[in-house]
Amino acid sequence: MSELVPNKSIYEFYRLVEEHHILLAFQGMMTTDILTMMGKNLKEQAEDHIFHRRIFSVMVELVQNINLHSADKAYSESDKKMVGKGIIVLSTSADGKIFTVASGNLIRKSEIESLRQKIDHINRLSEEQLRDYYLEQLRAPEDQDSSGLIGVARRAKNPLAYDFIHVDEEHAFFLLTVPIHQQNSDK
Amino acid sequence: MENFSIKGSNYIPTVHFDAKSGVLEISGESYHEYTVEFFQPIIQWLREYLATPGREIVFNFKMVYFNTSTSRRFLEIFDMLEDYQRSKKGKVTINWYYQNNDFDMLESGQDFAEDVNLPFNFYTF
Repeated sequence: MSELVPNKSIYEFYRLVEEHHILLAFQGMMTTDILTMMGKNLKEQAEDHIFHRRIFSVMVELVQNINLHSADKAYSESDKKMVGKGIIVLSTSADGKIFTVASGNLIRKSEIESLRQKIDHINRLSEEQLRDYYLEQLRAPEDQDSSGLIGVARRAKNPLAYDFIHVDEEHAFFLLTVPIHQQNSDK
Repeated sequence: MENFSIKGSNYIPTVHFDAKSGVLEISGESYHEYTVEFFQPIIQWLREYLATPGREIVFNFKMVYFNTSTSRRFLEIFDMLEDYQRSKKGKVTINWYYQNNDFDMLESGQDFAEDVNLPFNFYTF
């Protein structure tokens, strides 16, 4: 049985959001409708539309990554299928110049090694190598490819930071953090 | 052959294929999570359209944004068009439109242009 959330916890949650400059956060089923809502919310905060579209494009890929690969899934009425659950958080640095999209979801511990290798490989590539790898992966079999993550690395123009947190014998919490710098939007 | 249309919404692009003039256009945003299903009727229409040899096709891409999953479907379409031009005496032109200053969208088009053997024109809108 879950207990009611104490008022103090709600206040602490509010403070946490303020302190870390969290603009947008969602935890639950990563449906397409949720993505659309996040996109609309971003547009409302937008001054530079092209930069915000870049942030949105990173969010889309991370949300879809959770949807496909989370070890925690539930049935969505709107999508009419099982969708992954997880958390997505968009925050800014205190000066508002760096935006960070973070995603988190449960995975099976057996997946840690291959994920680590996949991301390390992407982080080692130059911009040009990333483009070639991206095109190669677009033709790879569905659900096995890394094109989503490569796309994120190309848009962010930054390495992908990740972490695995122990949950239980079988599961870990996979965290992916992608910083996007404002000045990078104009080449 | 009948024309083909899809009215776009939040994450679904607007599609209009004019069978007679050979002007095929896709525009708006596309970040459907299940693009295989969404693009299935589009690919199917194209397959039938490309069964007739010698057509002159102008394909306009006027996308504001699309996800990686959509890129996979676009690549599938480009492969079909490339094959049509090579083996069915087709003449295909791709017009890739991107919003002014949106270099991400320009880059996406350039990626495809490098990867497939089709003539690409780039325009801002």
